[in-house]
Amino acid sequence: MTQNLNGSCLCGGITYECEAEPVMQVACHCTDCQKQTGSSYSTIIGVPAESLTVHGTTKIFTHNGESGGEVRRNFCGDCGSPVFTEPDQSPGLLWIKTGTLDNPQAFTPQMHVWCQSRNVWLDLGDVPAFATMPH
Amino acid sequence: MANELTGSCLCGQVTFRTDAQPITQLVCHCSSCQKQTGSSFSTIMGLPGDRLTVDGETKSYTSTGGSGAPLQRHFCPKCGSGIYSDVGVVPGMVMIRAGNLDDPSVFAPDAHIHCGQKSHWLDLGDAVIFDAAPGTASDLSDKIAKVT
Repeated sequence: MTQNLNGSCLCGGITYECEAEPVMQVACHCTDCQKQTGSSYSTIIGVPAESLTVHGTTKIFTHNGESGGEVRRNFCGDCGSPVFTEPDQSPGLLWIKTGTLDNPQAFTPQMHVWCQSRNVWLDLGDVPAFATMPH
Repeated sequence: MANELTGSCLCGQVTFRTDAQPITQLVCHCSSCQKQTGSSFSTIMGLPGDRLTVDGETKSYTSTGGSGAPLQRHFCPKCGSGIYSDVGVVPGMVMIRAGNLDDPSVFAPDAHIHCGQKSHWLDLGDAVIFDAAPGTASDLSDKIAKVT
């Protein structure tokens, strides 16, 4: 089902519009996501790249992800909010950081990945959890 | 807990360390923390600001916190990682972001705050939870005064 997935960074300098059916909804507990969020995991919704329109210029940090391949992390240079990520591992998909959605409650994880580095105090409930990335 | 807490941002340009023990460890579910983490909440440790050493270039963004006092968020301008915040409601205290610790497993939350905005799918179990922020700013100020 197509959803409205509009959002913005904390300061409002970056906004985005998206009408899409999410391809996947994931909580990623890898150490890179912990570092970029400064928190326990990232919450991400994968959407077709052509469905996302971004207003404002993001800064991009590019590095090699734990799964191999480059990950381009787009964030707001004025407030630091991570906005979306482009991993080489999933060509054609962009991953919206769901904390920046106008309605962050639109996110419901289908799986937790990279749980080998997850915070032990977190209760992941009955949602499928994988030590690394399932194939 | 280790005698020294150390950490860095994702790209490694910013590093930090402190020899202070945290006076509070919180999970904050407020919408501003969701925006700046891009995730469900921030995981934060309160420390006396004069005991935190930060090396590398940071940039900051100041907004108004839930208390009405300014909240200055410091992040790495190269990779965006949030490093720490100056919390105006508790002068002298900084909040470091636990996800950047070299050993993030040392973080053990005392309480969850601003749970009125919590992600619907999160089950906090038996954790101590507050709909907004508990009225502990004066308690934290007292604790900061004792260690500085």
